[in-house]
Order: sequence, then C-alpha cells, then structure tokens
Amino acid sequence: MNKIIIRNSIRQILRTPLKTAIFLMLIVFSGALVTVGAGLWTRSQVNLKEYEESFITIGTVEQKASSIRQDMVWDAEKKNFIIRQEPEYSYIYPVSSLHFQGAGYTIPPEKRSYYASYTPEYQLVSDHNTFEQIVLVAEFSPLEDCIPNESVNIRINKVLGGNKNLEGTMVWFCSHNEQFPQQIYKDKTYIAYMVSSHWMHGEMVTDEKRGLEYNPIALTTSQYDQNGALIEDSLQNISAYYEVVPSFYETKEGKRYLNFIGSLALQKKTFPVTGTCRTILLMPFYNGDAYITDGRDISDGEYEKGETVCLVSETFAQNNNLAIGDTVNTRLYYTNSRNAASENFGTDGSQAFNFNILNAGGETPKVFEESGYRIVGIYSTAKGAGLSRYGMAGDEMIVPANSIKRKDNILAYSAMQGNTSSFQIPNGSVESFMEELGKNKIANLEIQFYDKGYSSLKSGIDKMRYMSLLLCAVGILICVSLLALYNYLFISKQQKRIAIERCMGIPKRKCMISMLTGMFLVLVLGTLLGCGAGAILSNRITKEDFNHTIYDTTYSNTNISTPEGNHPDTESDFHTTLMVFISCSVSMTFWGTGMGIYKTSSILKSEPMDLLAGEK
Amino acid sequence: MEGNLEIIKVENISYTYRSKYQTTQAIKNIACTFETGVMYSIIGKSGSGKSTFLSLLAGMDLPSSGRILIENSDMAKIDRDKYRMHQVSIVYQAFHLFPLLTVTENVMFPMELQKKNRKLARQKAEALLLSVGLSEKAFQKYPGMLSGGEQQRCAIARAMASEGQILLADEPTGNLDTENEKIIVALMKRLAHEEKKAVIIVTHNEKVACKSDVILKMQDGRLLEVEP
Repeated sequence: MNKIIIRNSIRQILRTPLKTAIFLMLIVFSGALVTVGAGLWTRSQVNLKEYEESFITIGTVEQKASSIRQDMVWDAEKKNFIIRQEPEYSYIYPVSSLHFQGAGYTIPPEKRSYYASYTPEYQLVSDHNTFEQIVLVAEFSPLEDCIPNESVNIRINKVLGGNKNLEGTMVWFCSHNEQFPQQIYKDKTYIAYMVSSHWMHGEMVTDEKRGLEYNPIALTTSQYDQNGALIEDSLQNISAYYEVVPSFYETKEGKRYLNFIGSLALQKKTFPVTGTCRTILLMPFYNGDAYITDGRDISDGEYEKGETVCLVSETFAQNNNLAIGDTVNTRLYYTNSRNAASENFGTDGSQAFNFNILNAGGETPKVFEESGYRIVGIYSTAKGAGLSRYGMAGDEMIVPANSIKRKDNILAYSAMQGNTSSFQIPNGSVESFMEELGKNKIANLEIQFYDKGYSSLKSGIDKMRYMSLLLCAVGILICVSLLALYNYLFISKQQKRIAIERCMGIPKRKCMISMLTGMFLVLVLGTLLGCGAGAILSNRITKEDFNHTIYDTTYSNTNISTPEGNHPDTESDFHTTLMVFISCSVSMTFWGTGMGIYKTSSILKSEPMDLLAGEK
Repeated sequence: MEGNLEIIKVENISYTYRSKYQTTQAIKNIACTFETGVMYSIIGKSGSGKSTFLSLLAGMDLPSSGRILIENSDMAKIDRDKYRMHQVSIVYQAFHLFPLLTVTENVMFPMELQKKNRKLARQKAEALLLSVGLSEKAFQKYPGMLSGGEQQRCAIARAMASEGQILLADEPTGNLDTENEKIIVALMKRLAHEEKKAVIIVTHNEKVACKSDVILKMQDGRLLEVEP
C-alpha cells in the first residue's frame, strides 16, 4: 500500500508544477540565505577562536613615582653641582594590590626577579666580557701631593682587579663627584675601585695630554630585606679611596676591597635565571623576538607545580653542548628585584650593574639555593645584542618562579616596573578591567596593554558576526514563513484529500505518508540545492574576507607565529563548510518535516466526518 | 426480502455533535436494518440528521449510544479503516474525487489500495468507467475537466471498484441535471439489484426516493417511518 501512496503523493506534487517550482525556488533561496548566514557566523566563530588562541592580551604595570628627588651631585669638571633626578615612592605597591574583585586574570600579575647563578663549569657569553678594560681595583700613588678635585697623574702600583696591563703605568685620576676630596700624597699608597668614565680636565690638561680619567667609586652596598627595606651598610662614611697602611686588608674597609675583587671574578661566571609564572609574560616572547626553536615551552602544570624545568638560550645550549632533557646546574647567590636580566646582562656578554655585588656586611653573597634544572626547551632571540630594558639577557635561563624556594640576598629592589611586572587578561576585556581597577581606586599605577591589534580585529569579526546572524535570522524567518505557507497550501488546503483518503479506509499513518512524501522530497531537494549554494557562497566570502584580513593585520605590531600559520587550514575549512551545509540542510528538512507532521497530525485527529463537514 | 442478506443492523443509535460552544443531538434513537440487493433512500429536510446517519453507517465515527452491527459484528470493535476500505463505498454530492489524479487513476486507487495488480486495476477501472457511461476520452482527464454528471459517474465507478457490499451515497444527484440524475439513479439501482449491493442513498429529492426499494423518512434526528 505504501508504494501506491508514495507514488500518488509524488504524482500529485508533480502535477502542480508551478506551485512546486515556486516553493522549490523559495526553499532554495531561504536555504542559501540560512547557510550563508550560518557559514559566515561559524567562520567568524572559528576565526575568533583562532584569534583568541593566537592573540594574547598582556598588561604591564609600572608604579609611577610619587615624587622626584633631586640630588645635587658635584661635577669636578664644571666646578658645580649637577642635578640628578631619582624617583621616590611614598609607598611601594605589592603585587597583591592588583588582586581585586572583577580583575578576571588569565594569568595573575607577577613581579619578576632574576637570580644570579654562579656556575664556573659553563661557558658563558660573559666569558668574552671586557669589563676588565673599564674597571680597575688598584693600589696607586700620585706623582705629586695633590687634591684630586681635577685630573691628577697617578702611578698604578698594583692591579688587584681589572686591567692588569695598567700596572706600572700612569693614568689620570679625579674624584669627580666629591666637592672636597681628601688630599693624596706622593709617598703614600692608596686603593680605589675606579672606572674610566670622564674625559680628563683641569690645569694639567694640555693639547698633547688628552684622555680619559679614572674616577674612584665608593664601595657602598645596597641589600634589601624580603619586604624591600634597605639594610643598613655595615660601614658608614665610606670613602672613595683609602690609604693602604700595613694591616689595611685586615680592616673592614680592606676586606671589603678584597671581597669586591672576588665578586668581579664571580660576576664573570654568572648567568641570570629569571623566575616567571608563564613564558608569555616575558615581553620578548610575547613580541616574538624570542621563540622556542627546539623542545617545548614550560607547561602550565610545570609552572604551577614549580617543577625544576627550564628554557635556555640556543647560544648557551650550543656553547655547552646541551640538549633537551639535559640538566643545568644553578647556584643562586643574589636576587635582583629591580631590573630585568637584560638590563644587566647583554646578549653580547656585556654587563652593567648599578649596584655592588656585596651584601650589607660587605661580603660576597653566599649561594642560597642549588638546583638542577631539566631543559625542556631551547629558545632563540631574533634580535638584540646589547643591554636592553625589554629584551632577553645573555645566557638567560627561564624557570618557573615557584621552583625557586628562597629569594635571598636581594641586592636590588624597586617598585613594579613595566619590564618586570605583567599579567594576562582575556582578550577584549581591557575596558572592563580598567573599569574595575578604577572602582578599586588604585592610583599611581600605569598599566600598558598589548593585544597585537586584537581589539581592531575583533571589531571586524563582530561586524561580520552580526551581519551573518542577521542573514541567518532573515533566512530562518523566510524559511519558517515558507514552511508555514507550504503547510497551509499543501496540507491545510488539502484537508479534503485527507478526508477522502480516510473515507477510503487509508490508516492515519499512511495518510500522513501520502501528505508528506511529496513535500518532503521537494523540501530535501530545495534544502540540498539552497544549502549547497549557500555553503559555496559563504566559503567564497570567508576566503575573500580572510585574504583581506591578512593584509589588514599589518597594524598588528608583531607576528605571533610564522606567516604560514596565519593562513586558513583548507581541510579544516572544508570540514567547517561541510558541517554547516549538513547542519543547515538537516535542520531545515527536520523543521519542515516536523511542521508538516504536526499539521497533518492535527488534521488527522478529526474523524473523516468532521473533516468533510469542514470542507462543506 | 427473500434471498437478501441482512448486512447492517442499527440498534437504537444516537449521535451528539460536541463543539466548543454547543452540543447538538443529530441522531436520536434510530433502529433499523439494511440488506444487500436493496436500494434504500433516506429522505428528510435539511438538518434532519440523514447525512450524519449515513456517515455513521460509513464508519466515519461511532454513535454516542447504541450500536451498529456490520454482518453481526459491532462496528465499535472492528477495524473501521478496513471496513471502509473493503466493505463500504461512498459517493458524495460534491464527488470528492482526487483533483490531481486522472479519472482512471481515481478509479484505480481503491483497487491499488487493495493491492490489486496495476495492469488489471487499470483494465477494470476503464471497464467500470465505460459501464457508467463515460467515454474513453475522459479517462486521462482530470476531474475538474469533467461536467458534474461525469464526475459523479466517475465517483460511482470508484465506489464500484472497491467491490464492497455496501454503497452509500450522500445526495448523489444534488448537483446534477435531470438527465444525469436519471442515469445515476439507474446505475445505483443496477448496483443494488444486479450486483447485490446494499445501496443507501441520502436525498431530499422525492423523484430519486421513489425509485428506491425502501424509503426511510427522518425528521429531527429521528426515523419516522419506513416505506417498503
């Protein structure tokens, strides 16, 4: 019986060709509209997801100085004071002050420290360091009794640290920043830590005699406690140079010089270890200036657990024949909570310190933590050679902050700085973050956000998404209206046919088949054609839009991945388009059939007698 | 009547229409019997309940009370779909042909439902159409292309095709001219007498009723009298 019922159903549909053709075309049109909308929406969702994964919004935090301190520093050449400005903080915000309600961090804020690791067994870029040419710890005597308030001639009697070639030579000397330096005598021996940083000046200078002078620097210390408070130096009124008398090296001052000389050797075999809670918080990695070339990044779990794993630089690995899985030993002996490692350790081996590597007692800091870190990744730096504020340091090793149990011998400390304090928030949440920050009234914190143009891209994608949703909604509306019209024309208006079939003894279920088969076939054909056309069209639109987007991403200040990585995955695109096509066509067929079944069922609830009465 | 089979027995049936707003008792306590080989006419004014009675006999609904026995089986207990498919055929005043099937296809349809061979069904359908006076020219036409009389003859041919023993007709000549009316009545009579069907016609046309073997008069849902 089914065969004849299906045949008659199809036959009757085909015998109303105009009505059927119009319905078919309208279904094709609405199916195409729905699929284009759904396709564009899906693509925008996929793009947004890709962007969400690729783009990262990082915020850097810098505490603004509450005031500027102006120090009067004597300039021996100018015979006047010069003003040196130093930021002052009435209160140093701890990182915890950024933990306010509604912040919604992806990675909570951190204030990074780097740790100096003394490891003489490794070959370091600083092995080629030439700071000996610049610094000098030496015993000397002036050629004449004099006050070194301008360039005076001294003979280097003995080089204790620095350029050994200077021993026995005469150099220019001036206690440049002292207004009233102590007199020095030609028959006495003095010791000083000197740096050649000014051109010679004063009466002794002639056209023939031009060169750099050596300036003595007082060996003061700057050690901080765990709370960032400065620990008082064990020596007071420290002079820039001392007379070397018998048993001078037995005195505190003398020992400090010996310790300092020791620290110079230590410094040369030191590499920085930066503790962080995510690699991406380090600006060079975020910017793409640093990238992993071998192995992998430290995982979130390893960061959380504080496992002893690390990332090392390609140069460090090559110089020491290290590979993934090998262990690097660390002996941490001081902590710097002020600078990024790159400010003190250049990738070319240069080093620059604005603090002495001596503790408050004037001693060389003792190793406070020894560990062995397993290499999980080797990174390379695309650029940067010298010292920089936002860069990678020479031989810098990256480890989970949680893996360092002690933070001791803090020789430098400051408020949060942009290159050492950062956090991650979800993309697109900058405004809400700043709003919440404002509510918490945290002043004097300058937060700089980096999102690589995500906001602009998202705005474009959002527009595409709204447009696609509109298309989709219009398509669905048309589709539903059509199906309702179709139900009316092909079912409600054919109540008589149902009544006749029921009068002829055709069971309700078969009446349903009779009514819906033809409609179902037209619907399936229409949705297949419409959704197929829509899928092809949406694919073309998204491809064109994506190409357009590639060109437009030039406003993104850096690349987050290789250019190839930005191209859409053709296979994935095909699958997405196929899924959209299947979903739309199945949904439309399902809805159309469902509406038909519902309508037919409601008609079939009536007895044939009532149906015929209704016809009359 | 002798030799005839009592095929329908109506036992005190009543039927009430219930709509949202009102309840109407259309049939009130009717009892009667119908035999094969006899042409019956049910007459009465509009609203007397004759069409409702016919629909109940066709098994399109069940009486609110009482029962209808078809060959001694209670209609409430039999499969009414099967009953309508195999035992009863209905001819309507408005013909109720499938407008999108040809005349032949309309007549073939009940036979195909009964799983008869398609070729044989076509042959029989054409024979039936010829027997009711339709020319071959009409075979492939759609019902809408025929006159009222031709459509009704097609409807009768379709009713004959199902080979049921009962033929019910609701005002079969209501839309026809006198000439066609005569042809249709003659056809009905032939079906009753020659093919031994129980033919029950609802009509308000006294000329048609006079041609019947038995006349049942209805008024206000009641059966007033039965004239042999």
